[in-house]
Amino acid sequence: MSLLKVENLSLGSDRISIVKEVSFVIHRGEIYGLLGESGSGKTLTSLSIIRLLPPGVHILSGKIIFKEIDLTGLDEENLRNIRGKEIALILQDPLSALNPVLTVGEQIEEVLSGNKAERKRRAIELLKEVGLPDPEMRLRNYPHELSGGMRQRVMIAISLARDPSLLIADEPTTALDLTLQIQIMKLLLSLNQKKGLSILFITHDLGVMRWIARRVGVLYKGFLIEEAPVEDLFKTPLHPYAKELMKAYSIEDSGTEMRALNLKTQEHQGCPYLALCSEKTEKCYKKGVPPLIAISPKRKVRCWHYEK
Amino acid sequence: MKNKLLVQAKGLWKSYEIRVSLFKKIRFWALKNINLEIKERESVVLLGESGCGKTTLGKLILGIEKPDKGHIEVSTSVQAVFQDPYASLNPRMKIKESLLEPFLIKFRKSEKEGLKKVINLLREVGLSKEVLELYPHALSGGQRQRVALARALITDPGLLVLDEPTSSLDVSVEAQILKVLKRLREKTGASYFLITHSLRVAKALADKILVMYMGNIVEEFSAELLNKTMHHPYTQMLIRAYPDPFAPSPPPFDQIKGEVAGITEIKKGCPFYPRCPIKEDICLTGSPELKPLSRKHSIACFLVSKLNHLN
Ligand SMILES: Nc1ncnc2c1ncn2[C@@H]1O[C@H](COP(=O)(O)OP(=O)(O)OP(=O)(O)O)[C@@H](O)[C@H]1O
Ligand SMILES: Nc1ncnc2c1ncn2[C@@H]1O[C@H](COP(=O)(O)OP(=O)(O)OP(=O)(O)O)[C@@H](O)[C@H]1O
Ligand code: SF4
Ligand SMILES: [Mg+2]
Ligand SMILES: [Mg+2]
Repeated sequence: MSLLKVENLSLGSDRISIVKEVSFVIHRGEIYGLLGESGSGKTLTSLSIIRLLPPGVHILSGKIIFKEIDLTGLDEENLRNIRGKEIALILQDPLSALNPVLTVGEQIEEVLSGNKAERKRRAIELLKEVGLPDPEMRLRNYPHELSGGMRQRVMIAISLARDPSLLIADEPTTALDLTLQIQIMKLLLSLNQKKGLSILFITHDLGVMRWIARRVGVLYKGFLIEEAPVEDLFKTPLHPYAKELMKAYSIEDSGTEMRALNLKTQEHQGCPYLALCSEKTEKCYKKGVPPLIAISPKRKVRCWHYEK
Repeated sequence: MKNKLLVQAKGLWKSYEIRVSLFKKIRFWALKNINLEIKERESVVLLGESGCGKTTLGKLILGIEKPDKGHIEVSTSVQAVFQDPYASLNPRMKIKESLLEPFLIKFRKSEKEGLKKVINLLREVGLSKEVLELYPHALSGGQRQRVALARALITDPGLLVLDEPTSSLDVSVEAQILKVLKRLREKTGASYFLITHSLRVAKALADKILVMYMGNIVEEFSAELLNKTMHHPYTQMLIRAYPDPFAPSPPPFDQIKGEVAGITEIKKGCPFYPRCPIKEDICLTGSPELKPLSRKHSIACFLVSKLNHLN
């Protein structure tokens, strides 16, 4: 059964289109991964789900259906009931997400219910769960007194505080050392297995993605260009960009070309990967943007080479 | 040829006061007896646990913080790329202004010349000049990080302190940035002090690797020795926890355990004792000193003789 269904979602500002007709489904109890290069639209896609888009970026079209309700049509008040409680978010930038003038304790207890003692007990429990040493003392610290990794774990604790059914985790482990990263992965995997927590997991780290997600969607310049079960994607990537990504990882210091970012208002005439693709043929120039082609019930790819 | 020493730090100690309860503050040591040398053209990579003091050490090199004890000498111009790119960029300034400002302050040259250099550098880090007219908030995390890097490079510093500069970038952009850094070292002889959590990045750029745990340097070695020799138990744990996307089986989720000891519960003994898989009673007798095994390798561990068997 699906928990979240993103259908033909397009995001953009007045000048440019940023995310283009992206569709994916997250089933109940599933960990779905979004992979993609820097600037491909991972963060904005996830923020749009709970309508926390930065000023100037809007949902242009599409539906976001969470438990049968279309969130794009929901008013702010109803949305507030869903945010944090039903859908929690771990932001990419922990420093900007924490309030600098409130202590860690105040920020966690703010989202908890119960009397003062209960909230404190639960806050300590949560900090322990995410592996923060000295939880009791840390409650009194302000964000600037914590290291980058500690702030990240406080963020994770806050997001888990209200037992959400969907967790959106935007690069939750990038600030952590490998031994903590693996512990956070384990924590999320066990919340997923034991409590059935569904997770939208965003990362550009191939190793983390491989061992946490069940299915993965790959974004490139705002397009979903491939979707596959995680083992298949890593064993036999189909899209030329996905192949390039796997290659760049294995070959140390690979000779990838400069990928200058293009923010121009240009409407994509053809395939978004055309300029950098090493497998392009005449067909790719002649035709427009390739459709997302279903190769098998579980695999989709947006590339003309797979046209039947 | 002997390269010049750019940074020389001896016996650095740095403490912070932390409130442990409403009425009580304690002083804890974020850095303990750190010795550090960075030579011209050398890349020193610092690996370590989250919260162990890496950024603090970077701040001492930059002179943003002062040590409580010990002394540090820096004989070159230093620029930084911070862990949090928001910290390097003024949110109210367009990217263009952010990039031009340090150039115009340092060199008495025209804005036109500055702009030329800005555009060149942006290209080097894989951004086009369209970002010039934008504000930081309109960029993705990785794009901001690259602007911060360009800003640090614009004044041709002799030493760059890079605090996790590629951790928000995907592998293909990361590879590009590493190339830019290498090229720059060839061209200008710049040195790097790079803080990272990525063994891949360490391998790609480091000449020397330092591993830190709770304010102590627990291992120091030439980069080529990574994974080719015995390592400190914490370094070994890092290596084991590395999730290899192409391995046949998942990383050992259950083997990597242990809470980092809290700063309020540290007694005497080796700082890694609570998590160490090979600890013995002797490890509680004091804090092990960093001892050389060879010219290229030092480890701080009482049970060095036991380490062989783990690799
Ligand atoms: N507030 C904004 N206004 C206009 N454009 C924006 C804004 N925020 C982001 N963008 C643009 O939208 C694109 C997608 O941004 P997003 O933050 O979703 O990328 P991302 O995939 O999360 O990248 P990263 O891995 O670097 O975090 C980027 O090219 C960025 O320049
Ligand atoms: N201004 C401050 N006041 C009090 N304590 C501080 C301050 N800055 C840092 N600390 C403490 O010093 C220790 C080291 O912090 P530092 O930021 O150097 O860690 P780090 O190694 O960079 O960690 P990370 O990998 O998580 O960024 C932490 O315990 C942190 O809480
Ligand atoms: S000194 Fe003892 S506790 Fe510390 S790392 Fe070595 S074996 Fe482990
Ligand atoms: Mg992002
Ligand atoms: Mg840090």
